Amino acid sequence: MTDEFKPIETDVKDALTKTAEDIEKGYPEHLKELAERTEKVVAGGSKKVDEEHAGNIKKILDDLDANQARTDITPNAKAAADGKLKSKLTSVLDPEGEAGRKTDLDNFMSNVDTQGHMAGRHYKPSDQALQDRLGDTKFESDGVTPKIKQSGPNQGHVASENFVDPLTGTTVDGETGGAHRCGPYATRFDNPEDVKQADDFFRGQIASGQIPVETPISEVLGPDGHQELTGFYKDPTDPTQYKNVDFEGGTIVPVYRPDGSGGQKLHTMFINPAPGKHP
Amino acid sequence: MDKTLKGFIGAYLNVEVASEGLEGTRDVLKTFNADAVESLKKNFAELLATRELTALDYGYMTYAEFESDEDLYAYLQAVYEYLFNDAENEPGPPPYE
Repeated sequence: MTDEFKPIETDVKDALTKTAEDIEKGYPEHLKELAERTEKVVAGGSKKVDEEHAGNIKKILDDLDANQARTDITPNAKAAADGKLKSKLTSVLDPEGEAGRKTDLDNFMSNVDTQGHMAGRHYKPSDQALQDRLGDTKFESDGVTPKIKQSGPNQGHVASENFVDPLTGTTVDGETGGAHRCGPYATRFDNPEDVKQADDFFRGQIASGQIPVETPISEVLGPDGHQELTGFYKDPTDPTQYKNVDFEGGTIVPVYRPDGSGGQKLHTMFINPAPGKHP
Repeated sequence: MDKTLKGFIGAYLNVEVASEGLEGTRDVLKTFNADAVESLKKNFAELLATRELTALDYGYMTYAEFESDEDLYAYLQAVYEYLFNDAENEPGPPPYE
């Protein structure tokens, strides 16, 4: 094959013309060949190539192969990781299409925003808004010692009140008009891609006759899906400080409501750490 | 415990969701696959009969803080009647702090 190399610039250009449709069918064999040829050309130093670009392609292809070969994760987790990698490959191979894909995602998130409060509470809020959502710390009768829950499922967490709803910026709940409630964690999806992948996953379940319910993050976003999420809880040793939530082993909670046309709208969707992970 | 029932409780009875009321949940169940909802109802009834979930276990799943198993099952019985038998009284979880 070495003697049959086309100039690498041509190969890359060819690859860039490949559409997302090709990738949907499974990443084409020719891309693997491209990556292999790219490596050899780089090693031979005979062509001037974009090593970073070629390396990115090769890395993703290797990751796809490695994911396919995994036997330690479920089919759902494997499919989720595969989808993410192919999306990444699309971005590398078709950078000109990024603007269009971003517009599609923006439109998706705008639509989600009209369906319920998922975006308002679990995508748009800043770090500060998430921390405000955890409310004011309650104190023991001495007025100085923070009240720490001594029993129950939230043992060790800081007791709080006056939870601020990011939807209203006040303690008034944007859904009910009553007092806003928040558990020990305030959490957020960082990427619209993850929101879409999760919504697609749960809508797929509905279409196949299942009820969409709380599901491990790894099943929906892949085994590394917990890494691009944000969450806070109050530090029990100093409730003026906030600690980051570790989402490994955590879950995604989907909540749908009727859309008025026989279907469903996404009322909310949020992420929780594994029970007992914190504090 | 049935996996779908466990996930259903974790989502739709999570303290943040249940505090908004259960009407939307009752309504959306009518849009899901009827067999799946019937199975959910059957497994929910079984949970009420076996009481295999403690208040603490339930709290880990939903963050809701019930004082006792008796309080929890009084609530869950009311939830069952509201969701599946169109009872009028809409139960709410205990306040969260």
